[in-house]
Amino acid sequence: MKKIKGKGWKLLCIILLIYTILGGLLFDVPRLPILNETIRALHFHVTMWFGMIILLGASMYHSVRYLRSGALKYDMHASALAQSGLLFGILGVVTGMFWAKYTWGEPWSSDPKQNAAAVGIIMYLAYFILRSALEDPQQKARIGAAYNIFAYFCLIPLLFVLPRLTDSLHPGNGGNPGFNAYDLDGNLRVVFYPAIIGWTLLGYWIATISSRIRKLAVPNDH
Amino acid sequence: MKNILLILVLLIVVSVYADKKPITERDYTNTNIEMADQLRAEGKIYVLVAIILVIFVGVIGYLVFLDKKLTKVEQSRQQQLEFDKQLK
Repeated sequence: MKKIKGKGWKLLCIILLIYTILGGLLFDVPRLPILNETIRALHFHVTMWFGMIILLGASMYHSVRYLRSGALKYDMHASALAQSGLLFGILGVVTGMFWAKYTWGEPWSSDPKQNAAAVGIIMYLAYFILRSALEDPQQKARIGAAYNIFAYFCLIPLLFVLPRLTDSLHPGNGGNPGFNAYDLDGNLRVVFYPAIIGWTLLGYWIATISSRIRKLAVPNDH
Repeated sequence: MKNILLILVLLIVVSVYADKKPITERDYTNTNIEMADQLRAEGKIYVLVAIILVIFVGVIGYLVFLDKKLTKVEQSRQQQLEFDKQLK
């Protein structure tokens, strides 16, 4: 993992997340039909997806670096980042189901974006199954890295292109009037953007810890 | 060819933003929409905020603790490696 000097970013992460909780629960929000008070889930549910995309992107970047250099440490970073990205994705699906139950009526309405997110999660679960099936560390790392790059470039059209081509309940993809403009509203943005940074940093933090543990588990110093 | 691409990109951008209804000042004062106003008026929302914050700080505190412990293990392993090198 690229070394970020000092511990400032960890402090920034904590401050941003405390701000997210305070602002997310207490600041004024637009009063919109159907959504009502649940509009606040924007700072918690939607940010999981932003965090996931950034973390998995970083994981893909480290897989590329592994393939270019053959250094196993990049592979450790890649799999640790994929793990925390996957955690965010699962949390995103679960929180999305709660939100959908009370706004769309069903926890799972087979919305194209919901289905695509589920496929994406299964794809990344397959990444870990693939890794655990291979014994030789170099082979595990090489095949894992190739799969990881492939998975990321499948995930992007699944989440951001295909749902736009059909009708989706998700805002910006067709229906759900009244919430389409969430990204145009200043009051929501002042919490939403810091929340994305805060949650992403938290995922990155957890990934660094996981990657460091992996490094300790290697018998001799690589 | 370039023009066709440009038109395609513009079409996509327009179709993404076309049906977005901007949020107006009225959306903030529209009392016909039910919100948790009572919860806020009674100040009970602060109870929730306090509970969530305590849990968050507790979990993050534990993460910081683990981080520090891991640093210690890494340092002692580094020392062990150097010690082994000297023995050889």
